[in-house]
Amino acid sequence: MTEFTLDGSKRTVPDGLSVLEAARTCGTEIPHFCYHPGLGPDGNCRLCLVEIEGARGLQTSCNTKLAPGMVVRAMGKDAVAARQAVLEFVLLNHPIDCPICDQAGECKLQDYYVALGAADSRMAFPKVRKRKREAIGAGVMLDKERCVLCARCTRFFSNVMKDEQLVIANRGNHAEIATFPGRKLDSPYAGNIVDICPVGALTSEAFRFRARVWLLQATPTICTGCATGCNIYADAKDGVVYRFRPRTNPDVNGWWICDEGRYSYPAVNENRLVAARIGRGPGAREASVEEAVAAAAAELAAVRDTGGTIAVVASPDASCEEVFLARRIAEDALRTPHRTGRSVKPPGVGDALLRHRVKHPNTPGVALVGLAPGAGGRDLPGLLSPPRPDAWLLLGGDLAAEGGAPAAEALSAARSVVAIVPHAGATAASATVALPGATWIEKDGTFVSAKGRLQRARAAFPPRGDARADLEILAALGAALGVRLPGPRAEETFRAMRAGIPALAGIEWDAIGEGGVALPGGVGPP
Amino acid sequence: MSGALKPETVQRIREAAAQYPRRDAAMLPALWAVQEERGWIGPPEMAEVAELLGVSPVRVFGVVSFYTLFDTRPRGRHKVQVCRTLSCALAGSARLCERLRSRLGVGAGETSADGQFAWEEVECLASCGTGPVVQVDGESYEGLSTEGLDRVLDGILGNVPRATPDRASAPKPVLGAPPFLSQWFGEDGPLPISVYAARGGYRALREARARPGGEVLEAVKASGLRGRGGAGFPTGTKWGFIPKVPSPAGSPIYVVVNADESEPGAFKDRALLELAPHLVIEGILLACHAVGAQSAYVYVRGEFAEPYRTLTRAVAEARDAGLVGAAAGADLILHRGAGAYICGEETALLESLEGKKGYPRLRPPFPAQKGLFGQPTVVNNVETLATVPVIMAGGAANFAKVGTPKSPGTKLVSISGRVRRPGLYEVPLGVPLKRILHEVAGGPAPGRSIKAVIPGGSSTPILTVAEAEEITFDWEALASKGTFLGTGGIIVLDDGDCLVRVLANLARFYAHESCGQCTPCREGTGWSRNLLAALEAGHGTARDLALLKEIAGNMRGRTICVLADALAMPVQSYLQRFGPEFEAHLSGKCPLPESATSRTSARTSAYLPAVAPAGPLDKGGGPA
Ligand SMILES: Cc1cc2nc3c(=O)[nH]c(=O)nc-3n(C[C@H](O)[C@H](O)[C@H](O)COP(=O)(O)O)c2cc1C
Ligand code: SF4
Ligand code: SF4
Ligand code: SF4
Ligand code: FES
Ligand code: FES
Repeated sequence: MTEFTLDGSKRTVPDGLSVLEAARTCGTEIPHFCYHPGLGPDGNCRLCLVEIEGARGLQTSCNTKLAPGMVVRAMGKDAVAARQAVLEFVLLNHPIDCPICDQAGECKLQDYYVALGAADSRMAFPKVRKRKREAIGAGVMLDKERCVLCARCTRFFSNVMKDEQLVIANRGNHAEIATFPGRKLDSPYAGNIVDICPVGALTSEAFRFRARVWLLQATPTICTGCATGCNIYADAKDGVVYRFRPRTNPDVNGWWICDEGRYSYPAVNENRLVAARIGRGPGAREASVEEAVAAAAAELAAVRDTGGTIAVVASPDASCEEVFLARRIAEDALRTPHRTGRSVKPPGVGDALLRHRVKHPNTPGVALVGLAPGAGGRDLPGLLSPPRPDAWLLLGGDLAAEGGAPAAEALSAARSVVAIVPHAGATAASATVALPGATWIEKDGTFVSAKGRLQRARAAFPPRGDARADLEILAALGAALGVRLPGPRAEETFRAMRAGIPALAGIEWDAIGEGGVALPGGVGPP
Repeated sequence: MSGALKPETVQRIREAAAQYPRRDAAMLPALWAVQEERGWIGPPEMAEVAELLGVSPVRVFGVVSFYTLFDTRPRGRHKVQVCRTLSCALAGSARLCERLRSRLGVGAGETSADGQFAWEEVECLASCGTGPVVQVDGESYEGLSTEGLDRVLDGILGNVPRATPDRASAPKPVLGAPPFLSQWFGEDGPLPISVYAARGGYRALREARARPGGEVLEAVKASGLRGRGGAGFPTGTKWGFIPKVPSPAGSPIYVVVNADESEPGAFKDRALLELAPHLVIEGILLACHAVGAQSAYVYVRGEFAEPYRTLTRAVAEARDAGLVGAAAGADLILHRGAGAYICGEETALLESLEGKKGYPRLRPPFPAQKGLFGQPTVVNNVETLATVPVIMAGGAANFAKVGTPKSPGTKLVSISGRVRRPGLYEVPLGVPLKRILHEVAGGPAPGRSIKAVIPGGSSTPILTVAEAEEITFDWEALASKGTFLGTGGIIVLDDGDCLVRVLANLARFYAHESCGQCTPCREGTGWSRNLLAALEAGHGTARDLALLKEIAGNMRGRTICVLADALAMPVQSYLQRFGPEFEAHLSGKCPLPESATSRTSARTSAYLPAVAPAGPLDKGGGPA
């Protein structure tokens, strides 16, 4: 630990920090544009100047290592005046079009300007004009006039992606951000530059002008797009998700997420199954969830009691708690050995940065909870070929779509298909009883990432329409089939589940926190 | 994207890449090769260079956009570049621009309708003592009148005999200076290796190489030699920062030679390169020996076509003589810049050498720890290194006998502006500045009196004549007046010069040359330029003067490198010392009407090529 003095009070912080990070640890945010913890210092904005006793002149706090006993004045008169001066310099050639700028509300320039009470610009000369509203590819819009030339975006490409796609061209006050002439951004991670741009120079085509940020509510959750389990904020209002953005977690995703995950939010809003349905084909009818659960239980019990085969398939998109309840239903209520959490979805693209080729969030969780064929039981994809099950209980995912023709045929051939799914997809259409589950944005639950980290997803808002958290539906189904299942709150289910799983021993729900916990001994490959 | 370039060009690029430990460092040589083949560099060529060097195309694009000498669109057959910076402006460069405008019928940055000439205004070309200077296709023509300029252009068109380009001139040792450096200059061209060696050149190197390199280091330390590149840092101390443990294989130490001379007012390194290349080479090789470097890179300013050629030939001579090359102990690689004053700043220079934009680096780490390609590196100025053989041949004590204890030795001073004998001189450090101004440079023109002196290049704070005439010329005395010896480029201003105009000229230079990284410099230089231009044009207000001062205060000491200070400090010093002159401008009229049209320099016409009849293109007239 290092002791130092910050604006007159003695403080102690971990070793090895810069002055800026040390101050931040103590709750003092030193204004800065160019420094970003994921990119390191660059020293170009000169906004982070502080007074350090014994040093000649003001020092940039972003690249000054904190030394024991240092006396730092972040809010000293000279430092504050220097920052005001830098802001005035920044604003010289800035268009100051805040009223029509989409960054309003999360613009560092605006925030600092207000906080530092900088004076109005005293420049009476025409500003340097640059291009505005340029679509530079990958869904990113560039306004060169608003850019403060902090080089965060260029450094994201060069330092993080190791693939330069943006550059600061020209020099002096004609410097501007540019792509190669005639080329667009082409990167599966480009969206990150929108997040790290401190001003409204880089905005997202998808998000621009859709919502004012101060009206959105941010829920700390995780992305379920692949086995990496990046930490995100889901920004939502009135039951609609407007965007996902990365939530810093050095153990998982650092400061970044991929564009696939970032732009997966429309799926949460669109094509939802919002009411239960009984029957398939022309005879199908909407029903209350209660009625549909009763119908599902009756169908499954009938198959069980007549010696038919029942397959219970939970998608690795489901949470650990959901898989746990599915397993209990399979073992205790339906007493079928044909149970699996395996996926038939073909793998996607993976890379060394974040993206995992397994496009499910919880494959290791399924293994951990132990949803697997019992004695004489069959697994996927074997279950899709004859002799095919007479009934299916499907949880999450979209088996009919993911498994192609064999899956679609197997489902339509079955006597009974009970599907608890969030979307009105192919599986819902082939179900004899379709139960409206929730997307992961509407429910709580734990997931285990490829690296063996147990993380929590959190409900941003209640399930829409008549949809329910899957745990509620599963518990009701269990009850209708005669078994009492724990829950339906995720926390209660988790506690019951934990009892039988050594790897989870001693892990408290609250301790999983926002950052998750690494499971002892890790887990097998997803 | 391949296929845009000729096979020869591709071959040249591949060969250039082999000169560096990382092939992307060959960016500037590659772009030069492209420009020489095609005349300009378009996106397909940039993409092909990127492919050849294994970098992303957008990096190439950024580099091309940064350096002024790279053209991104077709230009006229001949490139005419007029220096517009202070000393040339004082000597009448504006008239040359006027002449080009009327003769070619187009403005600066454009190409004449017949496609023959593209002309532009450029910054200091290191010929300040013989201004105004014009470069045509890289060749310098100095001390030009409008008629002289016409003759140069007509010569190029073949209408009259072609004018002979001008070369740098050798320094004269004055005020009792031993000709430490002066003796090694050729008169009309480089001193050939045979003459250099016959007079004892390279003997110091051969002797030093037979002994441990530490002895060179010790001798340079003992001599007290201070860097001639601007900061005056003791050279021996700098070399001492290089780790002494034998560098493991694959972890070399580098010597980098700063031959980017672009400080307005300085024109000494150009002369050394053109006329005393072997002195420079010997100095470089001695430095390599001292710090254990096996290779040295010489970063030659892009505009220095002739010095580059001369040095290339001299290095070949030294290589043939067995002095340069891996077997001799140190290799020497020349690297050509491409138009950027900031690349003289040592860390920007390293970036540029590595094939990037010339962005100064954050320190620490310092070059001695992590310099070129991340390796320990010493960066020295040409004149600094050229002084090392003098120390080794004559002994440290002999060198330190001259000058003052803290400023030992002799110094090349470049004198330009309002004196009768501008030019390059070798003076003993510590002599009265007054003697330099009057005895050496001949004092002011008849009927004039000196008003102010910029003592060390345009970046150094200005002195009143009274201040200048009471001090000696050394680091200590100049520091006592709040200014610097800098590069030793003295610019003299007289009672006919308007200091608002002078400062406006310099502000334009710094605004043009700011790399643009740091907010205060990027915005502050441009804002100062605008304010000063308005002031010069008679639109300034009292508030503007206060603002100028405030902007300077907000730039100074707040940036990555000291380019911001290089404008801020002069602004502060001009306002402090010549405030009334700035206030007088607020009336809307320059109180010094004479300076509205700059006067002709004392050297003009001495350099004119033989008189020939005016060519057919000379009809346009215009102000003569
Ligand atoms: C803006 C700027 C421009 C500079 N230009 C030059 C130059 O053209 N030549 C040079 O030798 N040093 C130049 N310098 C100084 C170098 O950074 C460095 O101090 C010098 O090359 C060190 O050499 P020396 O120790 O031999 O003097 C410049 C510095 C700055 C800040
Ligand atoms: S576009 Fe944004 S992130 Fe990029 S340099 Fe400009 S202000 Fe910084
Ligand atoms: S890498 Fe995976 S978890 Fe992370 S954002 Fe992308 S899809 Fe989501
Ligand atoms: S001070 Fe100016 S030239 Fe130097 S690094 Fe900063 S912006 Fe570039
Ligand atoms: S954050 Fe330190 S200089 Fe920008
Ligand atoms: S050469 Fe023109 S000012 Fe130096």
